[in-house]
Amino acid sequence: MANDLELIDVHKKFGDFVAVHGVSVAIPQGEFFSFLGPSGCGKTTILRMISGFIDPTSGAIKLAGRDLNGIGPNKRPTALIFQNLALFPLMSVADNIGYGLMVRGVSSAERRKVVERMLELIALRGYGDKRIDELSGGQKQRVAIARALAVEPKVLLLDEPLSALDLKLRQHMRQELRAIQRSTGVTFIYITHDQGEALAMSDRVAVMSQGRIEQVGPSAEVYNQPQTAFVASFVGENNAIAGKVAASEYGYAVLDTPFGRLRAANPRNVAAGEAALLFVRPERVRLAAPGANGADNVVESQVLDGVFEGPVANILLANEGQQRPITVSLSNDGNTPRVARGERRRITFSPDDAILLPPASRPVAEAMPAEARA
Amino acid sequence: MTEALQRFGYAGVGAILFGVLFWGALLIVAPMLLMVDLAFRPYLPNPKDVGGPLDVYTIQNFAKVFLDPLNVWVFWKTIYASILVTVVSLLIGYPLSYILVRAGRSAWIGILMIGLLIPFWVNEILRTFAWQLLLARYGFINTVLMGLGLIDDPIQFTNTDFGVQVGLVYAYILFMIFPLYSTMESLDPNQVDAARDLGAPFWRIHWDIVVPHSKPGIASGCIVTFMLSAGSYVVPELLGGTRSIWFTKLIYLQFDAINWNLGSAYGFTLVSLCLVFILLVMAMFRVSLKDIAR
Ligand SMILES: Nc1ncnc2c1ncn2[C@@H]1O[C@H](COP(=O)(O)OP(=O)(O)O)[C@@H](O)[C@H]1O
Ligand SMILES: [Mg+2]
Repeated sequence: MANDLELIDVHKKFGDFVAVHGVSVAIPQGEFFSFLGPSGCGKTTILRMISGFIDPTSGAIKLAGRDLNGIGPNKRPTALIFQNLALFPLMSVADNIGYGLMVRGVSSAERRKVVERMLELIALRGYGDKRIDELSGGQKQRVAIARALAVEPKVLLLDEPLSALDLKLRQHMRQELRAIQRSTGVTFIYITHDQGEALAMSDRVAVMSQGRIEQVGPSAEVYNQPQTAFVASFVGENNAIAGKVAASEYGYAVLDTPFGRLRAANPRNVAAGEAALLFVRPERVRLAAPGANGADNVVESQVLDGVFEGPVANILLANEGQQRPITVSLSNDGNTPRVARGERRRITFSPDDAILLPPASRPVAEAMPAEARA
Repeated sequence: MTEALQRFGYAGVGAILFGVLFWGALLIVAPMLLMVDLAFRPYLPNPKDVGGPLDVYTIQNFAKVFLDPLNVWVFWKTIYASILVTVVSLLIGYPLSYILVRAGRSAWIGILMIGLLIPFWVNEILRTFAWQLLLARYGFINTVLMGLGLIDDPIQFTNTDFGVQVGLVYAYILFMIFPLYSTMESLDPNQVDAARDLGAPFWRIHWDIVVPHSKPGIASGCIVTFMLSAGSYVVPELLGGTRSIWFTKLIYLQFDAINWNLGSAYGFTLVSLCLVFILLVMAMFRVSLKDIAR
């Protein structure tokens, strides 16, 4: 098996409640793979099934072709980093890192060597004798990673490990995690509800909703080519414009919306007459030059508000009586045009930057036509 | 303190402080000191001699305690049996507490806890009588064992040290379980899972994670169980009868014979040894008084 870790149609039920619903995914050795989804969508349940703390109700989890069913967490070549880290407060940093080796009966001389190497890896040389409560949040984080890596797992499982850190440290730790993953070559399976985190670190991301995987792919693909309305709205900022398909051909469709007729890519082939949502990223919408026209969509609307966010300035536009404004992100590159509140403005975006998706969040595999699935 | 002053005023706070001090000094410390004082004075049958030239400090009472081989034997038996009761209570209480904690908030646990508690709403004497019925020569246990054909003749449980020990374990095991339960409950379950995930087998998880965390609870449970066992009067009296004499009985007999001085010496000896035991346990578990009071 080239694929290191495989989940095959994994279900998990708690009583009548289905927490994980038919998850199938193959994760090659050495990949940084993320499960991304809102809280309660079943991410932790998946991680606990991979680490062996709970068994799937049905389906199989295989590592290098071997079915892991019935193998306890202490016998699996996986290591889990807990949401609250769960470092052992009564042991020193070195004892924490060496614990997995100690229970495996590794000699103390050998253990010391590994602990030294691990401390080096996490840039905490000389911290071995410190107590856990003497460390800062970021240092604890790194000790937890070292403790898990010391047993040389094939797969490292991380359960929202950065959620307790403050923003600056979180962003720093993203890079650090990524660097550690590259240098060790261990498969990282990372779960998070923070889409920025998932996109920034992962080779591939699985976006989850209500126990199902909505879409799997590289960060850029999940961001640029969402296949469901859920993915489009959950991953990153997106404008959603509801409407009814007027015509559909050659992978494009025309949608009747409160902003007028708009053209968009139609990857899911929503048929004419059906309701659909048009998604277009705020950074793909521009202010139109006066009198400009052509193949692009053009919308004229009233400026409701402007929100300055540093690298970008967001402008919110809506017509009288519409609740959902369109957001336009203008990059703060020194040439940002001035826009006044209440002003009427024309905005424009290419049909190639707009994606038409069915409004109901259906699982991709069931909803996609057969030829699109191939 | 300022809040208390606001609520109760100086007079109120003064009254409360006085109450606490009065309670502590007059009702606890003073009798203890009096007992120590008595223990080091000779028994004078004629009350006129008390405070007279004959009433001098002496260790003759303690000499009597330690020179009588029967006393010494009963004394060590009491200590040994109390240690045994403590160890057995720990061996039963530890897994029970752990199961109770890990089983979480299920309805079964509530029922089990109530089941543990209800017998303790009944007076200690009545509870011990119940065990007398269970352990009696033709009591419940012997009847069942004979009915199953496991034994031919009834086993003598009552009036033996064994019977007393069973009764003591039953009487005081809750004092072991509650401190254990409350320390174990404060252990983050992820700690246990983390150790397991790192490859620790079942017994290592307990030895490395659960026991170290629960040490204050283990220590205070052991101390309380030991003290109560060593100081128990009712259980040995009812289940031990005349055959199984315990040290508390010897103390009682001296006071009964109006020899308060010798009785005090007996009592002082027992209290001192219990203190030594506490300090030993604390040293063994490397816990401080602060941990235990937690
Ligand atoms: N042991 C359990 N018993 C019952 N329901 C559970 C249990 N564990 C998780 N769940 C439920 O399963 C769903 C998914 O939980 P979880 O995997 O923790 O979500 P996430 O990690 O994505 O926030 C939640 O609705 C949660 O309430
Ligand atoms: Mg979770």
